[in-house]
Amino acid sequence: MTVLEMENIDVTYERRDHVKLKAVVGASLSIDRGQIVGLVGESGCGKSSLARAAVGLVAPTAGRVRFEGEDVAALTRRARPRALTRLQLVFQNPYSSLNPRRRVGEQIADGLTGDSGRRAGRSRRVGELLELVGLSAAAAQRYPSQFSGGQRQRIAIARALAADPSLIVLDEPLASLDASAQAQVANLLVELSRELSLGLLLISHDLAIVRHTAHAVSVMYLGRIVETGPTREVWSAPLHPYTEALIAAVPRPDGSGTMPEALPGEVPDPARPPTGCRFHPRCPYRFSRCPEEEPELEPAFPARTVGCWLPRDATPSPPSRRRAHTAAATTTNDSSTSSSHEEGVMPTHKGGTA
Amino acid sequence: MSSALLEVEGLRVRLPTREGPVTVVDGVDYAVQPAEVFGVAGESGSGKTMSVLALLGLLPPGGAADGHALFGGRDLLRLRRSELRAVCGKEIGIVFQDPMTSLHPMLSIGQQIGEPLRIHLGLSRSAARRQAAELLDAVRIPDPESALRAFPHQFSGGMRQRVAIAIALAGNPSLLIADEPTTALDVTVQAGIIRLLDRLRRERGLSVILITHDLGVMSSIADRIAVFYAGRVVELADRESVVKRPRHPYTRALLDSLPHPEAPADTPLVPIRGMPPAAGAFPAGCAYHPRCAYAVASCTTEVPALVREGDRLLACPVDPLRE
Repeated sequence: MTVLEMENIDVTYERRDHVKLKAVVGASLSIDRGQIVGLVGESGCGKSSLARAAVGLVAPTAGRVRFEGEDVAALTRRARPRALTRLQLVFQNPYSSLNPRRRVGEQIADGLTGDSGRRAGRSRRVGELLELVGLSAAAAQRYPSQFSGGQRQRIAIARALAADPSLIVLDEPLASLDASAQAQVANLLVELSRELSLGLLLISHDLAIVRHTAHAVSVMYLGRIVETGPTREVWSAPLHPYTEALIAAVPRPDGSGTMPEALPGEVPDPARPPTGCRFHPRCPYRFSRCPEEEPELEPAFPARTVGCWLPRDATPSPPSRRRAHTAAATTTNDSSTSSSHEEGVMPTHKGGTA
Repeated sequence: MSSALLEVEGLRVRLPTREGPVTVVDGVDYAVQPAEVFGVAGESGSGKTMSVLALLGLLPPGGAADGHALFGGRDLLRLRRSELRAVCGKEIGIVFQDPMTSLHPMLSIGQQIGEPLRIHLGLSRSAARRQAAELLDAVRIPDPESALRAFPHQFSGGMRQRVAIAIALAGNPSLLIADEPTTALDVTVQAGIIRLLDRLRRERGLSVILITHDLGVMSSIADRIAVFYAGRVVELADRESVVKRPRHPYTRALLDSLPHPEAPADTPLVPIRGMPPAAGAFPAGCAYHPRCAYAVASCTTEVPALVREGDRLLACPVDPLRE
């Protein structure tokens, strides 16, 4: 059952200089109960804006968000409709998302609704929620500062669970944690999603951790979703050059000393996106069509979509393997600038004064 | 190992807390060789950062260090503040995690790189400017001349970190200390910084102490890795030995908790049970024993010594992972 559906969402901000900035352009996303969907991309790609639109923290300038079949209206000064409490949000930094001066239990109890609203019932429910996220019920009496980062993130998740949600949007919930705490919280999310048939939208810049957690993934670049598909398939055979670059940049903890691949250049200013395909200035496989026309996200293989002009093979294969038979593809790697390029800097790019 | 660039012996660090001073680094020895990337790995609270900040006199107020840290014929822990200041920034450069806070927001890039050049190298304003442009070029900042006039907020996170590295290189140091230099960056940008550090090591013969909790980053670039746990080194060896054939149960567990690109998808991650202990509450004996799957009775009482096992140093007498 689909719990969240986003269709052709645009999120536009107006900068102080009145320039309109399209943070999200035509993004669609749907999440079922019990499903974990990963949303990945570099900082500035619009993934947090899309997440905020999903929960009504920003109003989309176009498109529609439906949660459990109802339209999600953006937050106003009036009380949030009760139905929307089943749509929760967890932030990246558990050091700033929890109130340092209130006991953990009180903060979790804030979210309780319905029958558990009675006093004795409340503290029992808070204890259950804490145990659900792997902490002891006694933690309710303590303050956030008495917990590590990983534990605080569990508390933030328990607080979201208090409202008996059907969907939680998590904005980089793992980014500020150590490897072991990251693994603990990632596994917790998988368990919670399965046991409570909870839909999760997991926003992350780290495709490696998303791969171990999410069933499906959407890859975002400069406001547009450029590829979607089952996580396993996207990882083993990315169709979009950007997805391929994200995977190649993941350092391998295998002791071989292999260097990760840097993606040259930077995410351009979203107020002035490149013409045609937004990724073309950084794409090693670009050809004449790319700067001319913007590719739409289209079905490519069963359950997969991609927005890229590169010809596809009969079976899913990454751009680097397809490149061999793409005569039109041009190389951008000339030898004089190769060291800059390998280190992720585009020598022609005017940095600094932009 | 007399050719070592830096030799740390018996380093102990104590920090003040409301409950009195606590030991956060408890008897650490290591040596950094010329042109090597020496990795210092461990979770938050393992003492990895304090063990390095102590060398530069950068401990928080009230912090105290003893032991020895021999660098260029001097003991850094015995230098006066003024003497240390001449070493810091000149012979030893430092790069921190967050280039947004380590750079001054109101000073131009040129002013910030120019300062160490004028102070440490005594260059004139114009000579400093030329040298600063060269440094920016060395860290691959496009169009260095206009970058000198720019301010930190005009750069992306990756470019700011490159600027921070350029500043650290200004005094032409032989040792660069990089504390979680890529943790705040996107993976795509992180890859570029890793490659930059590797090139600086090759081209300039720079030694790097790389402090990070990310064994993936470590595995890409470090020549040798010291694994910290609760203020002590538990394993120290070359990269391959540590990452491919870890012998300390903690090193093994830390590696198992990482998402592994080659592992089949949907395999659950294997976190270490429990949590790293807080400073001041390090368990007796081997501090890792409460979380260790192989702990025996003696682990709870005896502090394991770091002993040579072939070409590695290991602090685990049980040694359950020996082949």
